[in-house]
Amino acid sequence: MGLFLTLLIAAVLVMGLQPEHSNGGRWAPMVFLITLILLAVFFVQDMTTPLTLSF
Amino acid sequence: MPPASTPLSHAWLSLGIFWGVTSALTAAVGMQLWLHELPCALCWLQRFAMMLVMVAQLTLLGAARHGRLSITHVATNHGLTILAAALGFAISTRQVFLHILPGDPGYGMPLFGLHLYTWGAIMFASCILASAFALACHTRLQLGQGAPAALLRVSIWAGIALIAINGALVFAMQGMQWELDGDPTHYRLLRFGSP
Repeated sequence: MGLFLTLLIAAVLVMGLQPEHSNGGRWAPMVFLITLILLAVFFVQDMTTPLTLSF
Repeated sequence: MPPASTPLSHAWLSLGIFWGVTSALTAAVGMQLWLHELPCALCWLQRFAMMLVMVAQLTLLGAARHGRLSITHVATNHGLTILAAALGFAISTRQVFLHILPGDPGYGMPLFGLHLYTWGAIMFASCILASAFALACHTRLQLGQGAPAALLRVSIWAGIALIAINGALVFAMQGMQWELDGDPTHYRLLRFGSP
């Protein structure tokens, strides 16, 4: 999931910095929000499965 | 729109937020590489939230670099910054609470007396305050007067490099498995580190 999220973040960065190409300026905030939602899902999953964490 | 009444510009404020987050992430990466402090799953989730804050500010800085900075950029990117920083703050706070009991040594090595997740909570709260300030006082801040182009260019490339380094590190740590380790002891892909 870490690599997946990093790739999504890199995609948002490329789209955000190249807004004139492929409607990047319009899609970048949406992909950003999708990444953020996925991050929240992984956080909730981490909270609800404490046995996978051995602090 | 009334003229801005302060010398502070949106570009400089974004640079402040960006370099604050970049410093925290660089410290975490440095401790991982030089002191072999491997990040746990929650640490990685905080890093992703930091990278999202960086990306939102980099988009704003990219527009400033090309002289296209508008109030729409400011509103969108500071709004996204607040969302990412709020999630990061929630993750950091959870990790602080996991180690809040007396006698708990905490996870990892402290930096200037505080653990990295505590610094993360402080940094995320600061980002929320700074972005809220930028939104609330957007007419008071200079829109046209940007930071030096060279500084913006260096910031953008530093952000890209840091995200790429984190991509390589997370791949080295998780290898081909989907989940990240809660208490990692070695790099799964490279098969080295402590056993």
